[in-house]
Amino acid sequence: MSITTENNEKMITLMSSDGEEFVVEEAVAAQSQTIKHLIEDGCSTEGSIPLPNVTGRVLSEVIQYCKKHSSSDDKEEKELEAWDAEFVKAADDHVALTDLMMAANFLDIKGLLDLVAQTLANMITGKSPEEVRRMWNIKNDFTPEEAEKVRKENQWAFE
Amino acid sequence: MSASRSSGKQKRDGGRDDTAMETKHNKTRAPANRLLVDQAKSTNTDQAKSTNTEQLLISTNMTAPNRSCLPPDILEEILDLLPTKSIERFRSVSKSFFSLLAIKFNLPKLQHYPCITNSSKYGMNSEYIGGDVKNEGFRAPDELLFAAPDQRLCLLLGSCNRLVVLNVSNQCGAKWETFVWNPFTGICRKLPHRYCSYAYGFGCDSACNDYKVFAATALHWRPREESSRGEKGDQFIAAIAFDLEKEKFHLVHGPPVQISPAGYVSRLGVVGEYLCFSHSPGYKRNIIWEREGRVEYVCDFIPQYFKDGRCMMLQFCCDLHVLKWNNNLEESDEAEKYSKKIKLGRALGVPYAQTLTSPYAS
Repeated sequence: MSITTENNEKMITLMSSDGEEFVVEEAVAAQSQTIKHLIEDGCSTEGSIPLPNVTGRVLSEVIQYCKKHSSSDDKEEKELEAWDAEFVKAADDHVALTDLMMAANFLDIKGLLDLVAQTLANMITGKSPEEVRRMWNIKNDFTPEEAEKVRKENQWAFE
Repeated sequence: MSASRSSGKQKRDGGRDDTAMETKHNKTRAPANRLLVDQAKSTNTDQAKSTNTEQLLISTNMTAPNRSCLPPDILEEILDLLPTKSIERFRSVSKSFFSLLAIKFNLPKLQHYPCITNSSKYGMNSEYIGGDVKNEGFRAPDELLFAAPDQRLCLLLGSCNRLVVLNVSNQCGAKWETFVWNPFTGICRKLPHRYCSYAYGFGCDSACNDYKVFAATALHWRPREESSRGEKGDQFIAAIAFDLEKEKFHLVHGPPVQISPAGYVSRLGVVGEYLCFSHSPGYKRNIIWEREGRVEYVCDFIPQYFKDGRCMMLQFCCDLHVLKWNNNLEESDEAEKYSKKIKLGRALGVPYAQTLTSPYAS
């Protein structure tokens, strides 16, 4: 289903995993390489494009990002940077950021992926291994002996 | 939307991902070994992709705040951006972190390490050490800069397991100080100066069970008068091992190599699992070690001194690296000539090898 606006801009519909539909300009959606390829392959001619990996909440954030970045080609870079900073700040915590990053990875939006990865990297830089484990529910699967070995290996790095 | 269309979409999607991955490789100019690892990984991606997608489905549909899975490719993107200090620390998070970081950060660097030299780009007296042409090197630690603020002369004695040992002197040959340094974290420690050393080496003690503990053992060899054993005036070698973990010096049995006192240059190095001592005359200071018909090189630095106190370093490792001298001397034909001479030369020294026994190995 393709709708055409008065600007002759082609619109496409994206459907999130929870059934929410988003109608966006094709140029905006094409920021995602995944969607772009789907459009090129003619997958969007009838009905909406289903995105089974992305929830509506995350998708709306992604679209927000894409809109900003598709319309701001000639805008100043600084302004865009400031907007990016606000954007990731609004995402608030690492869970939301991780979701966003997974979506960016699936949709193949490089700018967004880099932005979120950097934010998460900054977030964990100063953290202890234990804190990192807690952030993502990572199980410490080292045996005590192995842990000791790793610790010894790193001894000179962290005294 | 029919089921057949949906499966067709997935197929196309998979194909698209592969091409995207390929272009990514081309862009990043990854070193060959890295590329191999990545390619090996990407052959599994087809399967991995589908499981990842399933994981993604599950995790995004969850409403619980904590994610139990962080797909490896996502994790990799994040780890790529971390400073080295965090990378070192996060090795202990979990096995998957450890192996990911080992593949990504350890192996290439370990292989790279013997190549650490005084940067050709910045010269001997610069604040940067290490790196090849592409790598700008690591900033020298403050301790090292303070140790010899004027006319620094810095010899890289060896490297092992992300640690580097440097000898620093304030003037040519006078008052040497030995430092152990981890360029990735910037941490630097001065070794207590107890022995006047004749040759230096730095390597792993693989003879010990927990060799990692002894992985960073600095070995100082020095000639010692042994009037009871040798002819009068003969000098023998004694090894002094510095154990980094316990921070103590120990005497290790010296090899029965007779050395001539003057005009010879001694180097220590590790070949395979052997500590190797080379002793050779004059300018032909090759450290080439032939073992079981195979020619191996000691990964070591060969300093070449000149009248004005400058020093040119040549080094053997997997590839021969020729370095520039001071800032004012470019990579010259002379250096090129010299390197070739070294490369073609044959073992002229007296290599000595024995399985290194740590004083603690019972």
